[in-house]
Amino acid sequence: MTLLSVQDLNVHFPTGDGTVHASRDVSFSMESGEVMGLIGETGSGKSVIGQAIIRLLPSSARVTGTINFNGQDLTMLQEHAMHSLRGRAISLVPQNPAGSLDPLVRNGMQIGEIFIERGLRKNTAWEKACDLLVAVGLIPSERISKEYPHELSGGMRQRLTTSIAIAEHSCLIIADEPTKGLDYHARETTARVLSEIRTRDNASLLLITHDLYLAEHLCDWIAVLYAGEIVEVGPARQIFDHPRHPYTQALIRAMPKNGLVPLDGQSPSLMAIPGGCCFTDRCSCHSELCRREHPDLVQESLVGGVRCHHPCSS
Amino acid sequence: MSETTIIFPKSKRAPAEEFRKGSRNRLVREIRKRPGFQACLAFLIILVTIGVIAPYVVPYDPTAISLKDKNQDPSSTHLFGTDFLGRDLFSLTLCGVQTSLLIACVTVACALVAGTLVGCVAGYYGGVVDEILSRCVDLFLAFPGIIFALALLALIGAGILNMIIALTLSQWAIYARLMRGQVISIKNLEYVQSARTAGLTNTRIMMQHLVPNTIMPVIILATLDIGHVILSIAGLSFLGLGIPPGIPEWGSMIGVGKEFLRTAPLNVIVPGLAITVTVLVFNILGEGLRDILDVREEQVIPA
Repeated sequence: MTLLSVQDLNVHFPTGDGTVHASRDVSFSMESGEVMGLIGETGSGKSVIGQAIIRLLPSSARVTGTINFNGQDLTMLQEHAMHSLRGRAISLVPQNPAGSLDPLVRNGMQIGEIFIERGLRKNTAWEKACDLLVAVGLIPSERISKEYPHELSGGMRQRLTTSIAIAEHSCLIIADEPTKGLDYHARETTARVLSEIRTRDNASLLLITHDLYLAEHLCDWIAVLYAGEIVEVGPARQIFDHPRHPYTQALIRAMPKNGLVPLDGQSPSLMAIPGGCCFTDRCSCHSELCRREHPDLVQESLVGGVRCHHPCSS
Repeated sequence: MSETTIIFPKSKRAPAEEFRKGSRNRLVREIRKRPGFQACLAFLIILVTIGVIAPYVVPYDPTAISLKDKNQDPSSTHLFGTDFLGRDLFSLTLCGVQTSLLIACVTVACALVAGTLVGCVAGYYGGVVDEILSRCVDLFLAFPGIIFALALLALIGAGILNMIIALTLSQWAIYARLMRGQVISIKNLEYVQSARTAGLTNTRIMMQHLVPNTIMPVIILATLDIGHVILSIAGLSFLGLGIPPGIPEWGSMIGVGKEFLRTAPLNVIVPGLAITVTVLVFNILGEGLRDILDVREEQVIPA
């Protein structure tokens, strides 16, 4: 069953200097229990998509398109209806765990207040919070729940924010760069926690990341974003084994295990997007056509698509 | 070359966090470093004790008029002498502590609560709500506080309760404005955002996250403000618009005693000193508290 289907999502930010096109014609869909990875470099509009889904973009953002979640169009929903979905049906693992925890609230209460909000008594909420801490491996939970966030390490904070997101058994979890700023060991743990959640709740996971290692291990599907649009989408194995878009190939070549080959140049400014293919200037196999015409996302098969005039054949 | 200074900007979130960390030890340590603060703290405790027990222990009934003993000099029977109606100045002044402290504390507490709520709502919701509330605040701030309270008291009449109402109305806007700025500065921080992501209600976000993280400067302002309010009470009573006669109050003591400034200056000097000392104590406490809790934006260390 299709859980989330995003159609032609456009997000613009009008600014004094012009309009920032953070996300352009993004379409993808996810089944229940699947893990979808949104990968791409910084500024490719990954986080904006996550925030658009949970509807917590700044008020200046202009959003068009449809986001269909469980049969409801989230872009059309009233604020109070959306509010009742947040944290319950859709939850978000925030990008920066250090800043996302209230410095004056004990770790146990960071989770517990969600249960109190839902009408539980304080000590029941606290017990449930301790259970969750154990579930994400924060042991001894008794002691940790009484401490404050600044007493935790980066990896522990990451697990704490993750446990907040899974508190309500949401069916869609949006993880916004969950491994940002973590060392190898903490990354491993995060990957394990995320895959455990998936088996525990059969939740769908929208993984927003530029950590290809994590994406390769967790995702069923991958969408590669470049300058606010999807340039390639497909099953994770296919993307990693047979990338077809030159940008995807460059990303994969830049992975440490594949030789750490950097990609020259910079992605275009989201305020002045070129007319043709956005990747032309950095592409090794572009032609006149690429400068002239903007390629469509061509569905090559049932499972994937690529936005390129000259896709590499697998 | 002029003295170079290094400015260490501090993160907005840090002070409260730092304060919690082993707060007891740090608090005790910081207070130990400041003998002036300690003295004022001790004096405050004495003042509060006097305020509570004075009516029961003073040697004379502060309202008992005895015209044959009027305007006496200090003696062993009347420690500070007597006033123009023969009332014992020592008893009168001590009982005045209660009136001043009570009105000042209730006023500041009311203003603090009202201001915090309005400021928090205005800052958090923004938009039209902010616009309406902020214009209200501006309206109240447009009048000098003492003149506003004076006009209001003239309208609704003197009395302890009316005094509290008038002073609260003239003070709350300051708290509202400070709180609004504080809330705006943190409302876009990630932990407030993630509280929204978790589906918490706005009331809960404000009460659990915004207020605890922004209240410190407001509390310090309140401490400094108590001194200010005590002065206002004295000022209004001096003009005869505050506390009705019969209730011991320093301002009204000076007000009626000023006629005898040449012949019996103690009528004015004793309550005047009481006001000065009390206000001074609260100001020093407020400033000390500000340094101890360290809510200054930056610390300047000479290189």
